[in-house]
Amino acid sequence: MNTLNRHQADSLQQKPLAGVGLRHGHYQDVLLSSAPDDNAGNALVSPDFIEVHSENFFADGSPAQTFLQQVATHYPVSLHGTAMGIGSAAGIHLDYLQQLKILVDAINPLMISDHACFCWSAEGSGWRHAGDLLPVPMDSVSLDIMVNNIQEVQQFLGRRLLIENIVAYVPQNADAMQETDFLQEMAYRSGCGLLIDLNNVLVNASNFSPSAGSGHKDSTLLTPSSLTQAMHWVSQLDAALVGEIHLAGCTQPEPGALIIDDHAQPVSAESWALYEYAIAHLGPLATLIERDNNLPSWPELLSEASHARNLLNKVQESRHVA
Amino acid sequence: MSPELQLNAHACQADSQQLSQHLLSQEQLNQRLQQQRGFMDEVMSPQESEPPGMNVYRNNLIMTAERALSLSYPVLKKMLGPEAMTILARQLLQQETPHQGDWAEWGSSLDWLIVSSELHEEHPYLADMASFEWRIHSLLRSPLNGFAADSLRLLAAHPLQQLGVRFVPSLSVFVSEYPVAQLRQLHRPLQEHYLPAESAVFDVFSERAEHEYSLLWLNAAGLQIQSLSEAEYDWFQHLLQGQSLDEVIDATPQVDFARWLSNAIQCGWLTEFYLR
Repeated sequence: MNTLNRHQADSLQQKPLAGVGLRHGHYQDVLLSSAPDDNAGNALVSPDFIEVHSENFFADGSPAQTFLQQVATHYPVSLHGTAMGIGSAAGIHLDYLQQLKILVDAINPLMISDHACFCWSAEGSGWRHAGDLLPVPMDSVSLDIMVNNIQEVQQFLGRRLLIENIVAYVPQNADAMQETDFLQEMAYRSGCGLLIDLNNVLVNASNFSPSAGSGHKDSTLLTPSSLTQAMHWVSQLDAALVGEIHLAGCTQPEPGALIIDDHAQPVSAESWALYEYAIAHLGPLATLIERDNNLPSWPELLSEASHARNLLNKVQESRHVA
Repeated sequence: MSPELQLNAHACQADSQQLSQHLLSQEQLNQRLQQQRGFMDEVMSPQESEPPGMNVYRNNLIMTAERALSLSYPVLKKMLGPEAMTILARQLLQQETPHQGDWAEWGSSLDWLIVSSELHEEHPYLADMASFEWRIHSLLRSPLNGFAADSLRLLAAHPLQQLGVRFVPSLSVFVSEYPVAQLRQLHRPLQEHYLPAESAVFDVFSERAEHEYSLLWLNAAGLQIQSLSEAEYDWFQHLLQGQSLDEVIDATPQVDFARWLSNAIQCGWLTEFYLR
């Protein structure tokens, strides 16, 4: 199965990649400026890759798809889906898969990813889409459904998927599998890779840790104990399964409220700390700065990507020395 | 698609006994289908007793729906404001269930929702504005097709009663009792905080004709909207309905075919002439 084309695979092996999620507010920026300055007038390095939400480019032959093809002539593009719902017991709508296949064939993406969640429900002869990443119980039934769905999609697309851990806002049953065990078993059996969103790990640790209880008790976004738990979570991962890391930030919640993974803030200090720990453990993996709301300027996002790249380079250099 | 892939793709659909047959019992699968359907129902409609956190999914859904409507209906959002758009999004979710993973395809029935709402009595133009904006939203997702210039030979080789014309997929005509195209133009640029002066809106309404006819299409330069006369509107309508060039010329003699053809090629309206 073709995961990456040869050029892409070579470039992944040669240098660590730090990319940026591209959203509508930056469409002009990405084509107009390949190397803008930061606020201090220092030249910033271009992103190593661009990641987009696949569904935003589904309209075949549309100006949006033409635009993405233009972007793909400047940067490697990764397709990140938000609506595949790989854990759906109903399966995945064929129309959705066909649209994704057309886009994959048009763009030849660096990576293809989606989330460990369900989105689809069968309603008589029709379908309903949740429009959100809904959690699945981490049990053997979900595992079987996910493995089957992933294998079917990978075969349909002729490409390997990366599946991302999600934030869940309802707690898992007490007898559920550990999330890392669940995700890794899914990856071993289906042949997919994992995309690890470190902010999601931190948010889950904070929202549902035994110490925090259900709901966030104080006004601190992420506590030291949630960082410790998140590091433990990452330490359980088999590095060979992980293909990408997402970095994001989220808005400070009201006391007592759950933290919402809104991707509306810069990457937090806790996320950077967890990131350093993660790449030391997992290796200098392709890393994406993800921002969906409250978009900053394009140079600000590039600046965060540059910081990630510097950390990746350090890890790579230390591995070469060792 | 190869038969093998087709088979695999179908296996991705619901009601597939093949799914996980070797791993899952049908009973387990049905149970999980029910659980997931129940979870989605709960997100859509609050229950008396539900786990904390369900409201996060509910709020996310409404927020995403509101964002989708705001992108598809930017002028309506300016006219109504974000709070009203959130109310409309909540109501529309009950009326039009999302069926696709692409939010851009959701929201087509907003015009009907507005007609049945209290907004309609006081602001009867809003429903037409919604239809107009949805038309624009849809055409912006259409493919850009070129003109098959070879098909011009048909004009010399065949009588006009045997010939029809195919337009680019994005082209359509729109008629309204309200000056929706002018109102849309007035609300440009579409940046969130720009609003036209009330006097300018008043002028558009006070100077409006009985009907406003518009032609919309997409070419390499982007969205194009052109005002039409009633005769030109009829001309396009007849052609879009597949009538022959001869029939259309007879029905709308006010339109000069030679001049229209030159415009049509220049503006990128056509994909080809064809033998009917």
